[in-house]
Amino acid sequence: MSRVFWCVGEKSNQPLWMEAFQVSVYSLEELCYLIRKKTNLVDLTLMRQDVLDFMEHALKLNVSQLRECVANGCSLSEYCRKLLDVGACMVSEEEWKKIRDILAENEEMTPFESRLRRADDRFAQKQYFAAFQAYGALATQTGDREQKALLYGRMAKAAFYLFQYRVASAFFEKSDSLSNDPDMKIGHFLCERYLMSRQEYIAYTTKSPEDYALSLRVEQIYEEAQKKAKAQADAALILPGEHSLIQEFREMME
Amino acid sequence: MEVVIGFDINEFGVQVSYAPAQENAPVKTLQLSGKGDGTVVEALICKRHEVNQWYYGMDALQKAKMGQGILIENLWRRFVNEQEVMIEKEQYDTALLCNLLLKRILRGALDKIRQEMQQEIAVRMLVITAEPFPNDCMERVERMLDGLEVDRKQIYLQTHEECLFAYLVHQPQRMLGYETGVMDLSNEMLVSYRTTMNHRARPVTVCIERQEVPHLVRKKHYPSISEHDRALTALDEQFCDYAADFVNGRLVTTIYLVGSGFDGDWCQESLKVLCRNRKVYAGNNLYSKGAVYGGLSKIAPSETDAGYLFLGRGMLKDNIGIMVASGGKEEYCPLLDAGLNWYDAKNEITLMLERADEITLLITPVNGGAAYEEQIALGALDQREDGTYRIRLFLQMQSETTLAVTVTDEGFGEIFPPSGQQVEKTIELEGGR
Repeated sequence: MSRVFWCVGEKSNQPLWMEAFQVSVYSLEELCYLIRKKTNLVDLTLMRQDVLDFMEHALKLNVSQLRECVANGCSLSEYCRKLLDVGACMVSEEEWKKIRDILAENEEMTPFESRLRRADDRFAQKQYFAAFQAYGALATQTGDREQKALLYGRMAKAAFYLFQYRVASAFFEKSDSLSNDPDMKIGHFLCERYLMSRQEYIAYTTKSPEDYALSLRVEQIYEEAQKKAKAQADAALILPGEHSLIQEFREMME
Repeated sequence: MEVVIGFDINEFGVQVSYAPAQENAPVKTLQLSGKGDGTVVEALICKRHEVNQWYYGMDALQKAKMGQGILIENLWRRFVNEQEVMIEKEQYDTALLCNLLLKRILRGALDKIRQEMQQEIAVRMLVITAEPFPNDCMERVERMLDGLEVDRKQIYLQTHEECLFAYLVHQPQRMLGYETGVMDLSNEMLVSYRTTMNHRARPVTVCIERQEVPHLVRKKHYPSISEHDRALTALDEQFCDYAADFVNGRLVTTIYLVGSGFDGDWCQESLKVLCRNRKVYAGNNLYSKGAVYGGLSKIAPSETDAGYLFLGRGMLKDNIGIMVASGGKEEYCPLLDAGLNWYDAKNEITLMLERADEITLLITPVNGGAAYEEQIALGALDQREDGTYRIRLFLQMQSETTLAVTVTDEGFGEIFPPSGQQVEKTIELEGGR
């Protein structure tokens, strides 16, 4: 039988939008959950005054220790530890060690890295459109060539998963132009392969003889993808409850 | 000086007792009437012919005898059973007539109390008990109580059982045995009450069983003296049998004979049975005094009040709670307490669950039975990560012994939106059986 716990504080009718986690929070339990499960996204925005005010006024919690902690310039991990204690959140020593190590790393993140991580989290959650927008927003704000190349590459992947091959192709090309990354070129060619007919694609690749090796690689990837898709399609045709008759026919033939 | 006043109303009379609003204050019964011992005011009103002038009590009786007005008898029973009475071809609301009677009696009582206490008084609480109890006409009760000299928030209604409980627990300890009996002939029909106390429980639980005895009737009026004597002789015989049955095989240590129906010496044979190995007391102010004790226990509860718990008709006889983890330990969280009227017994609480497998309620009968657990399986709720279950637990009694429990999934904010799923379970409690 599982245990029953008190709710700590109240549940707010007006949630607080947590930029770091890209989610609205109604209670302290949710905040503690996010610290534990999305530690890679925890950053210094968790220590802001609006978060403390929300906890004090909306959740009716005593946050004097947290305020003192912030006023004394405590670290992110010290702050989170206190927050988990306020939430009566039972964290094992082992789990806390992992959390603490990640938080220490997070504290060194630049704002760009922090936002990039959030965008990556959206991608990992298969929120491809939101990820695309987040990468795009970062790309417009950064002047760094390497960062832009990285971001265009990720935008291309997000667009690819949204089956937007033309958009993906454009961003793969942009990324490649800034970074000369062969993977970006492969991505670009693959998108064109999906968009063009055989003849069109052959005509397209003959324009760049230096890319023949890459084209071959793209073809291999394309064939592997086709085989996988076919295998999955074949597997999908087998109805539940039915089995192959190979063994029966073998016996009959014997 | 603040006072608590108790009114005991039946279809024949109204009795008033009072006490200063202090712990352990002595309770006195007022003499407001010139008849008998003076403590019962006739529950009569009389409307003067063709004039909107009203008399009450003995005045009403005299005016009616003199042919100056129309007498309305059995006013209280009429109020409980009927909404209106016809007087001189006009319909009168019985609630308003009772209101009139109570206003007059209350006025008289307040004057008398000021006289006795020789100082100004303020009514801290007015407790009204009545037989029959107006269970099914509470709306009309509100009309009846409207406009009395006491603020409505300071007026409480109590059943005779609640008054009996309050009275008994304020008697000397030596009189509080295992069982106490009350034989009530305030009205024409005998009503008996059996009080049992469980001294093994803390607080001591007190149950009161009420029984109407329709074949034991002493009328207020008989056509003739011979008829009266014949009836009372027969009544003594019948009451003797009833009393023998009442005490047979039981540890009844005290009997109270209540009401004017026991006036006179008609029940000699019955008394022989009742007085064997127990104390018997006669009186007619048990309920009005009990009403005052009941009021005092609300505003100035004594140690005695805390030591006893009344489990009357319609009251919850089990404590219901749940174990909640807090600071590494488990602590008991009460959800519904014994002693609540079942129709008032409901509670709602929001809790966090580790997993959605089951929750366990702890049920403790207060009548001496063993505590037990009731599991509520939560398999019907969508399964998700541990520690992300915020549930709303709602408990409501559907009868004296039936508990309805509803568990609602409140979700986990935006992370796991509320599904609105519910699990319901009905539990038959053992304590009330």
